[in-house]
Amino acid sequence: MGTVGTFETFTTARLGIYAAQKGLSVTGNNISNINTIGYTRQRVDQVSLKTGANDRYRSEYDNHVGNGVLVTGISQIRDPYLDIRYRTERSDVGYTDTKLNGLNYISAILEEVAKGENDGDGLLYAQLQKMAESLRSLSASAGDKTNDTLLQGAAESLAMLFNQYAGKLESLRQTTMDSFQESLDAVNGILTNIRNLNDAIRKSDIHGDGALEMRDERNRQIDALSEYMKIDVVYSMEDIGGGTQVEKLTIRLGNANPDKQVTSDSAVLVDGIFAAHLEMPDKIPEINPQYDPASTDAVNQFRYLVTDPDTGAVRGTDDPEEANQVSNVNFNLTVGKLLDDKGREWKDSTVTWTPVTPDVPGTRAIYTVPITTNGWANGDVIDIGDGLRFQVAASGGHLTEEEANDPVKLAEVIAARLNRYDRGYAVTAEDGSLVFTARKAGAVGPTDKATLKNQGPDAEPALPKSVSTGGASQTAAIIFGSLLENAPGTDAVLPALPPDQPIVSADGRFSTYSTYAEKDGEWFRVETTVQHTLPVNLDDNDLYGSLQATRELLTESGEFSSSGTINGVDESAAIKRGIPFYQKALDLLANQFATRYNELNSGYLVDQNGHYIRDTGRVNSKGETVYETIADPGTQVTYYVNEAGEYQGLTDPTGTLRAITSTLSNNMNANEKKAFQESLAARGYDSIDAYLTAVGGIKVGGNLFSNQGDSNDATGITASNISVALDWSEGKTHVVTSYVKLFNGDVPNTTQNENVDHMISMLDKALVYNPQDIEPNAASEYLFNGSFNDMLSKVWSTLGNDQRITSVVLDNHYTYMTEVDTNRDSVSGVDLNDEAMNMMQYQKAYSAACRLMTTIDEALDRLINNTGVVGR
Amino acid sequence: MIRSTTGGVLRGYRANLMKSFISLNKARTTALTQRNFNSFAEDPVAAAKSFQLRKARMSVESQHAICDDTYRKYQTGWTALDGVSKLIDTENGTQINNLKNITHRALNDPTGDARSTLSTAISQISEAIVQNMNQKYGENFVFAGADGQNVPFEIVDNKLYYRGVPVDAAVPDVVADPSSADGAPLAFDFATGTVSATGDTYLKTGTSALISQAEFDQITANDPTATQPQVLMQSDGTTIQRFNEKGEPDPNGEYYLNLEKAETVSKTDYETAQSDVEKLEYLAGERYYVDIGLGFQENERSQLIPSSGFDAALNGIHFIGYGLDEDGDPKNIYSLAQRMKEIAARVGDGDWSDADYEEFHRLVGKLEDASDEFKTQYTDMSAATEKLKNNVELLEDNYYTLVEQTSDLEDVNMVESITTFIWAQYCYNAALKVGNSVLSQSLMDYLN
Repeated sequence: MGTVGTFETFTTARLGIYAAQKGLSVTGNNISNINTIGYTRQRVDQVSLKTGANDRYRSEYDNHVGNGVLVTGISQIRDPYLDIRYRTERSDVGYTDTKLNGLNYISAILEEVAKGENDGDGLLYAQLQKMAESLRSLSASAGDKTNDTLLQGAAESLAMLFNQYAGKLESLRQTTMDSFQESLDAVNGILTNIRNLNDAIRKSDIHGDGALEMRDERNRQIDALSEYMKIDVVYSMEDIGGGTQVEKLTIRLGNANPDKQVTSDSAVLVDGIFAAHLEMPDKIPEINPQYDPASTDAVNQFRYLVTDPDTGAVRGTDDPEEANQVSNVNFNLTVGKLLDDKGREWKDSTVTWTPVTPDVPGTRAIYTVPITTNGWANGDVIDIGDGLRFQVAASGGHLTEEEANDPVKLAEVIAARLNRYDRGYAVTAEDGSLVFTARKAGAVGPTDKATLKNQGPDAEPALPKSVSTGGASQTAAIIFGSLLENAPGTDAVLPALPPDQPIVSADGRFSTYSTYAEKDGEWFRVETTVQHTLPVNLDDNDLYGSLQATRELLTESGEFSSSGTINGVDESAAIKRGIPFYQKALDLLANQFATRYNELNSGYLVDQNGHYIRDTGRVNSKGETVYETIADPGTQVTYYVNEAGEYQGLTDPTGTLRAITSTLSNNMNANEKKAFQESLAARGYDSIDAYLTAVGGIKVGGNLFSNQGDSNDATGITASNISVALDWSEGKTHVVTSYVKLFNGDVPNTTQNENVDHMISMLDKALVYNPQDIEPNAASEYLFNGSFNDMLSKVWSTLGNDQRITSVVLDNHYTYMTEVDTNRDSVSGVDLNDEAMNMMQYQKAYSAACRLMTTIDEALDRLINNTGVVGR
Repeated sequence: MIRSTTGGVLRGYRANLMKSFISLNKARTTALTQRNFNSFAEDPVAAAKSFQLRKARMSVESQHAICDDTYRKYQTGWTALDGVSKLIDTENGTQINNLKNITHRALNDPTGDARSTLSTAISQISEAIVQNMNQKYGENFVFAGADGQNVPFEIVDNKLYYRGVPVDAAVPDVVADPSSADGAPLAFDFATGTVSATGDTYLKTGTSALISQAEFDQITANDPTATQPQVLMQSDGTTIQRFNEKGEPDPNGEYYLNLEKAETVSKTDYETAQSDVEKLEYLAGERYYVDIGLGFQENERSQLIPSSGFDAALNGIHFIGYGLDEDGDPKNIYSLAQRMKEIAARVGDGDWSDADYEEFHRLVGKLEDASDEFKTQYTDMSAATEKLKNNVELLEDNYYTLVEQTSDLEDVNMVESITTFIWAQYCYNAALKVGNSVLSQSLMDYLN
């Protein structure tokens, strides 16, 4: 039976009190922080205490009792898996929420549901119909100038609405740009905070402090970061020497890019006490808009464009550094270098030892040359080259005959002599051999005596077994000559090393320092590779979260994207639509509208049959111009069609086609237009218009819309610049109601309206909207086919559907994020019921420990004061 | 989930309360705006459909205005034609001083004492007809076709012109050149009397100027000193051009053409008449279209498909006639009246000569024909006017239908809207009540 320490149980009670006290403190801390965002509930880690088993009075029986409880630490309760899930969802929420907000802003500008007269006729939408209304009035009363004025007013209102919408969209783009910059600043602030927290936690860790509150704050920062971008958080242990390891936090981008070949989407943002910043360069490589990896074109097979500074010729390149640097309109981002709080760069190094050509003699650090000579006689001179000569003499020489013929002795003498000089090698004599050892690594080279000589294919140099005495000096030179001299062509020189400059990898990420070192008699090339962090140019889809959503709002132009963008930047670019898409779609609508009506309002006069006429230079009795129908040879064409009526050209090589003869007019079908374009091209005219101008056709009318109000220039009309042309607004040009001059002008037709009818029909005509009309490099040639109103409705539908889908997705993500957050809270959050229970539990434990102490006290009191007093 | 924490419960509550509030706000917005949707995103299909309906309604609005305007123009035209009709002939014979009545009286007047007066009356009525046909609607002349800003009918030297073209223009029948594949007239040089491709004169058809070879030869056979009439020579100037008995050039014909008796027409006049007839044909059928909601579409040649627009052109000569008939009499009512007026004035109060009477009688018959034709056109116009009126009503119906359809699509069902709102409010209140209990209850509240 073991013994019991008299006061041992007091310690047990005391430890119990301590533990309960600590428990109450932690509970109090938990309750206090119940509303602290990011707070992780803490708990007391305690273990039961049992002192050593080899005490002095140790019982041979196993009846040891523990000695109470020890508080070993305070820990947090977190589930890393839930953190990962939460942050993934939060980046989803960040992305969709930001996207939806952006789309809502666009919608607030563009969309016209419940706007306009009659509780929702719309503004731009209704204005197009007001144009139709004015045109109908003009058609019914074609000669009335009042209607022309009314139409002009409607056109001005329409242009103004286009201008307003375009202006608001541009303003939204500018605001979003500011917001993007603010987000970048916020992200960089978070990265800095995390780095600083890492540093503080690391220091605490070294000193044994768990730094729980700082970890909470760090988690909060990481949570916030995850809203901006998808991230991958990894915890690892870092060896700080002395057998101590501390936790290291690494945050990388979260592999958001669907292109598996891209690696930049896992760029390191934070590595322990180092952190990078996101930067937006002013200039980026110029993307080849026609880039097609499958192309064999000398330029278009390359991703970027570069202009030769001398010739100005443009060629392709895949090297972003070489490419032309243009404004960063794509808002490309770069992850900068990893720096610590003092601006020091993160580095890592690895050392590799590589044996240098082990089968090449002379690359070794140590060479053993056995001395096997004999037959020397007094009077001989042993010449080992390099000016070293040994006289063999019975006396007064360097060697006696006996010594000369004793390899051990001879080696010692030669070694002693050779070591008198400061050479690159040391020589020792060992058991009849000369051992050459290079004094320093890397001290090699053709002029250095430490260079070890090639002794030929047999590697080991061998001295001749015997030499003759006649002409001994010459013979002797042979012995060492090839060993010590720099005989050209016999060196096995190690590759020269750059003096002190590292070899830097092409991307600058690695610096390699090389040297030679000897180890165990062998030479090694020792390469120390230092890894630097370089700025990482992020690919278009490397980010996710709100930052990427804002980028996409700023850059994505959907069907207006160039093939270079689709092939070289983002394969999904054609189906992503941000502010630029809606700007360009509106531009395309305005451009189409203006172009069509400008075309309709400009043309050549015709007779009642639609045939073009010209001025004869004569006037009739009323002083009016006399016209004549143009009947030049170019106004006739014969072309061929197949059975399906499809145009086949101006010749019939097979003799099976149907010939059609047609006269040039303003009401030709598509085949006739093709035929005339072809036939007139053969006559040297670029177009039908060019021909008509050449043969005296009379062009009338003029542009109704221009690219600014003080000109008639219709080039490059967009929603932002569309205006009523100067001449129309000043009354110099009117709407051409008719191009027809009846019977060459003999019969007046003041209210003829066929051209106004064209204009009315145009409003409901299905037109193809080609993105290339606005963005010449756009990959797509088709956006929509419909009327002007339909196009507007199509834009709204696209926007509305995108909003709707994004809203549903956001709802899902938000619900899931809330759920995960609640799950996370179920692990890490403070619960009042829990804490109330803990409070009661620790309070009871505290009381019990106190009671124990009282009990022991009472027991000891009995023992000390009341024991052995029987009979007193 | 193994734990439900205070924070977790509150988070869940907060999220659900927010949802409930959003629902309430949405229901409130719906009730306040009385619209089923306030953005495309809420219901893209309905929104797109709604705009299409609104566009259709706006089109119908302006088409209705145009149709109504056209209807009024037609009404004005119809009134004018009605006036013309009364001037020509009145139903039930209630109008005494109408053209037909007067001409009949002139024809049947046994004493002829009022014929001069009737001549004046015919003239006045015919001019009144022209005045009626120059009626204006708004700023434009109703019967001017596509030349609404100019007076369509003008009387110059008692001849009626429509848009500058004489309404009685007709191409005279001329002798065709047999060597011409397309039946070109036989031209001859008037001064030399020889056939010539560049000749300035054509021969009118007829046999009155023919003279047989025998008769021609007989003139000198009986009297060598006699002078033979000048006959048409072939282009060589020495060979006489022969004709058959129908008056057609024929190398084997037995007739010559006596130029002194021949009816000719100068090439210039002939071509002018050709041009005028072509113009009249065109102007009588001239069209211009307005959009009254029939579709208004163009074909592949960018020409309006006629059935998709309404031809609003009212061509005056289409109603009162133009050109000459096979007897050479005008088909135009005014011209007929003028001819009759001239005969009546010429005959005066004397007795009819047979020729005058016969001509007057024939013209009265022609007037009857022209009147019938006018009435046909007048009736057609009545039908067109009625069609326009019906279309106006149809467009009105369309308008209200479209308004109704738009309303069905956009406007909320108030019962449903209010019910939804009340329900949302009820849910929100319930959520608030739940929140009160969520916040108050924990074990802490039960600790002593």
